[in-house]
Amino acid sequence: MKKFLEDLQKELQKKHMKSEEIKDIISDHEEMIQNAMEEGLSEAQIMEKFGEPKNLAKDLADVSKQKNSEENDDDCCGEDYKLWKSFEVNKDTFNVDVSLTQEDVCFRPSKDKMINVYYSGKLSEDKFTLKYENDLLTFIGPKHISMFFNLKSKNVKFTFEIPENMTADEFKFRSVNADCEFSGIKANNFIISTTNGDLEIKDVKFGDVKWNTVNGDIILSNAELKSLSSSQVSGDIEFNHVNIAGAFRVNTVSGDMNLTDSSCDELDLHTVSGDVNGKEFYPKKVTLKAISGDISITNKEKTVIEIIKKSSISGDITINN
Amino acid sequence: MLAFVKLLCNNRYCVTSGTEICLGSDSMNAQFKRGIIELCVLSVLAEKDMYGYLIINKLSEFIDVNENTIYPIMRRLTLDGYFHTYLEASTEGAPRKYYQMTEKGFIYYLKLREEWDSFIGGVYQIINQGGKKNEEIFRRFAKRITKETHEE
Repeated sequence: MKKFLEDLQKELQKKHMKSEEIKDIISDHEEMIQNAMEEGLSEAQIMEKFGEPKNLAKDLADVSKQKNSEENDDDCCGEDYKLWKSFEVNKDTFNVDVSLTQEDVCFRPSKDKMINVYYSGKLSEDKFTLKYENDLLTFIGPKHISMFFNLKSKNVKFTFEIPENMTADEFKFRSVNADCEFSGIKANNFIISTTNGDLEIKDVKFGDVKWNTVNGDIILSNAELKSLSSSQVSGDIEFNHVNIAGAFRVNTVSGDMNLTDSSCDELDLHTVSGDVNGKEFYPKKVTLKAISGDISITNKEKTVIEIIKKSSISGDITINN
Repeated sequence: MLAFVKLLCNNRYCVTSGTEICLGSDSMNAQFKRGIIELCVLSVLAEKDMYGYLIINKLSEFIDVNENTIYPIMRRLTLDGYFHTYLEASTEGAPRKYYQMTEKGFIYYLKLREEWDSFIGGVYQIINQGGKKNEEIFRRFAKRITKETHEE
């Protein structure tokens, strides 16, 4: 058994895996082999059950490589991005409609009046529709996600540069699994719908915002909004320096909201068990409809927060100044 | 699934008798196999928390699969946040690392399960069109073949 562990360690080292990863894997295997021995398995039986260290190391190195490349893709404008298409915006406004299943996307401002689309990874051009017609940018990805044949094949990513000083009229984004980053974008209507993808939105100015998520988390920072209507199942939401001039409607099952240095007119919260935790969060009015979700706000400054309606089973509103 | 594969292996009508087809060999698409094992791991952990060796035992009770296939999948699912782990003392010896499914993992499991059901349901629709008994299918096939040879 010692040989199995030694071989495994050697093979993992050959694959240049990090020493802490190797340590972790070896310790897991020590435990499992120990369990097998406790069960009374012979050495031969154990060898049979555990298989070849070489194959194991190969698969583990793949897992680790995949994980590392996923972690490194935060930078959405690195060297590995190539320009795919450019469109000139020749009116005062434009619309965006993006619909994807699992390709990660990043939106950021461009210096001129151009919409530039970059990609990284392997792009099958025929599988995507990308066009700019009648002031509408349309981008549609392949519909079919087949997890069994195409496990985690998130290999192509896109970056969109959107004209910096222009406000889009309608900005629609739909995705199933894609993680998405928006920065420096302006839009009158901003509509998002995701299932699992996480969204990071920063330095933005929006009119009416509507988003819909199942499991994806949303981080919104440095944002000016006219109104926000948020619907989530279990995704969490985080605010940092967000000002909503009008209504802030939330419909959540178990997703929590952490709101810091933010404000809104009326907070209308419908929740089953999702909580709202505010820190320096200043709503003018609050409505709570909950089963067990709470609103708890801790502020330094004392302002009038009017409680319009509260109907809940065990949820509560607590305001500490 | 395994019943089906075993049938192929042992079947006397199998033309390539001697070539072993089973879940452990490379003859089956490795990705496909990994997808199935992934669903199996998710399914057992959806029911209760388990330690590594127990998961492997549970799976190899029903399908022909080695630790070296299962463990990398468990590790990836853990790194992806579908499971988290904790140590718990055992009566037999050293503490064991238990795997616990997260909410994210459960949602992923439901999705994968749905996809699998619809896929395998479709496959069975296709392969059972000629009935479920290989003997019958073979008899029909043999009849057709002889008929065609006569016509020639």
